[in-house]
Amino acid sequence: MKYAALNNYIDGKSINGEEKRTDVVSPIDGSVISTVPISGMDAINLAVVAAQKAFPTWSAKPIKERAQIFYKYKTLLEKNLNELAELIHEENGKTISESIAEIEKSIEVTEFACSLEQLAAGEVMEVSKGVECRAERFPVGVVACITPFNFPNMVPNWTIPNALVLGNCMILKPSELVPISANKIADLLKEAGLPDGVFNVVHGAKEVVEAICDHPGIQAVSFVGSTKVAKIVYTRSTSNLKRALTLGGAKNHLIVLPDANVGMTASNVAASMSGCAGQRCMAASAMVAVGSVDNIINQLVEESKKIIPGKNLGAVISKRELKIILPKQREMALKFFLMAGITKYPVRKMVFMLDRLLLIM
Amino acid sequence: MRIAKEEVFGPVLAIIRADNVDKALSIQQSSLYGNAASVFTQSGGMARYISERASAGMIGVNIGVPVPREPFSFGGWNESKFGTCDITGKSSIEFWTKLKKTTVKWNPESQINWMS
Repeated sequence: MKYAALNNYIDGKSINGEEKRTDVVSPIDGSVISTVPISGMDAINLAVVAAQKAFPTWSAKPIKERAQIFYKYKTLLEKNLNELAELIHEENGKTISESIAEIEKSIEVTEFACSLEQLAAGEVMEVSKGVECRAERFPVGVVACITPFNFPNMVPNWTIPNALVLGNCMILKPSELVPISANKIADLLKEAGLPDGVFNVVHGAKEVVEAICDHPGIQAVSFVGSTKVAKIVYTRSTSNLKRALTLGGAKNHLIVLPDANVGMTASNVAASMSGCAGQRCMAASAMVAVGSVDNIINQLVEESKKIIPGKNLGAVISKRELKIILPKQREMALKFFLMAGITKYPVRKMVFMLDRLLLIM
Repeated sequence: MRIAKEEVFGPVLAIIRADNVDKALSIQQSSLYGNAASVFTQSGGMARYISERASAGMIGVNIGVPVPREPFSFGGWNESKFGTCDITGKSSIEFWTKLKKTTVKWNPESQINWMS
């Protein structure tokens, strides 16, 4: 294995208490690059205790002091950009340039978190003679974030810098398909000076997600993944009287009008459809062609020919995902809707890369 | 057709014909999801017309992947997001904090009123 077997990261320590483990498989070549524990309620209990222990000291620090750690974290993301991107490429399968872009977005959201001391300031007003009202923000407490396979570094970083600078302590449950990036984030946060227990990583699957929804010591839950699971996590968390914010799937329509710039439209649509192998909730998956836009569709066909598996098209995450995508592509091919589509442009070939990736050209 | 409505999560694009802008909008609006929608046009008026009516939380004009940059927030509508607030940017401040409202009388000479 290229990477050591992973453990949970709780209270600043690597905790290996799980008997159940699963392989971490690189979608690029199918090799096993690490193993990850499949935890349950016991690990969540430990992480909650650690986070609760860290919370009084962490939340009592002035926000400017908490933000200082994330200035350091941002420079560590920059310093380790290539290594972090290579790791995303290996565990998720997206291309190196897509992986670099992902880290760049992590850097941007961290920069934003460093500005929270300006944005999250309170308000004060004299509401009647001699009487003032004041509003101040306080952290929610111990929060948990459940993140998906498609952005192993960026989606965790959507929440980590903001939630922590605002004074919360966190348990991250990354996708068990891409767990290595999460432990790497923990290492960098520690190096940046984050106190132990403020950020914890608990690996696992369904059981650990249910434990997060149910544990009374967790006050807020965020989730990013499919709509089906987003509904379950939202319902279960809120029925346990937690705050919840859960992001699901998408079907993004690109409406193309006849006066659109041909080159810009075609290249944007092709990039949106194929970027991150279409495995992102911002991917264009339906183009609505209004009126006579065949010149744009023709150009789109030309653009689609430039999409080369392994070069500017990454791998689909796993065999399981491929099985889901494959019948749908077949269905589409048969029923004449497809990239480079309509009947005029029948499926010419399907390209498989190392059994995992496919593209209709 | 399922492929035109369901999320595939792979490198796939369905091309759907529409006679006019309103029919295109009704196709977009009929989706259960509402993450992103984009319009490609050179007309500012048409871009405005579509971006106002599209049922999605993130709109692109001549942009294929309209991810908002900080300090703007990431988040869709409909079945693409459950819960209030967004997960990034300014809107996330509300989600990650609770507000304490303190009322203070600091002047002993202040008028007697219902707060006394």
